Amino acid sequence: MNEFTAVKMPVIYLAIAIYFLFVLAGLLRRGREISGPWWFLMRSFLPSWRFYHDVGRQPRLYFRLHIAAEQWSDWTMFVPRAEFSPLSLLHNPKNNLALLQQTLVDQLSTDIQRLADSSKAEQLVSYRLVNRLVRELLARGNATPAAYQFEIRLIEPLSPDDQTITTLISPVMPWK
Amino acid sequence: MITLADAVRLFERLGAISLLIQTIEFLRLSAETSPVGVWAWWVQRGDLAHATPTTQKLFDILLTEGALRAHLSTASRGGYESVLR
Repeated sequence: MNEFTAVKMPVIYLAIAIYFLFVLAGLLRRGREISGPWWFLMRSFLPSWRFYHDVGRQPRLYFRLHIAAEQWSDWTMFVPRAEFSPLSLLHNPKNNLALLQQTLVDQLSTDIQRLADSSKAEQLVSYRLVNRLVRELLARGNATPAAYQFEIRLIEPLSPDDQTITTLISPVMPWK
Repeated sequence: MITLADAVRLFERLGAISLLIQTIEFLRLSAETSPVGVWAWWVQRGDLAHATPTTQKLFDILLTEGALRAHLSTASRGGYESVLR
């Protein structure tokens, strides 16, 4: 064993020990929700895995455009779809981003449920991020509406539209 | 039979590959975290409203567009060199 490897060994052992401590902590806290403001900054590292233990209503983002006076487009549901290719096994930024966007919608839905009566949804960071996401989706479609609006709905999987619950309706937002 | 030193080397290389893949993905998505992107830091920093002003300033420095890109570039270069070593 050369000197360089001998120096690194304790560091590697420490890394392995920390990893297994995290696994152990995860097992001990199994079933309990981990939350806190600092965790929000880890959004990109901790996507929502809620579907593993909760098959209930799923939060979905809907948006619509103000086309002309008194005329609105139909509501469009934002459903990120993964595009698979063999390369995705190694390099998958677009699909990871799509997963992160749906995680953001889940986060907003959770934040709304926990929102105190005296607070406004517009003050939530997740609300402001979703608003920016909607604007990006509209810009991606080359839409330049006079205004737009978005909703968060809880939808029952494999059920008709009339079984959805709308938990948030944004005010009419000017495009510019 | 694999020696302990080989196992350490393998562990290090796998970690480096993982680091390299993730940092390259973040670099490719850097438009998303730019000041006009969806995930702009000036919006996300609202989650730190509870933190001390010093902590907020520290994160403001670390997560500005230039600092984040420099950090990712350094991490990806470190990962690349560790894979090749």
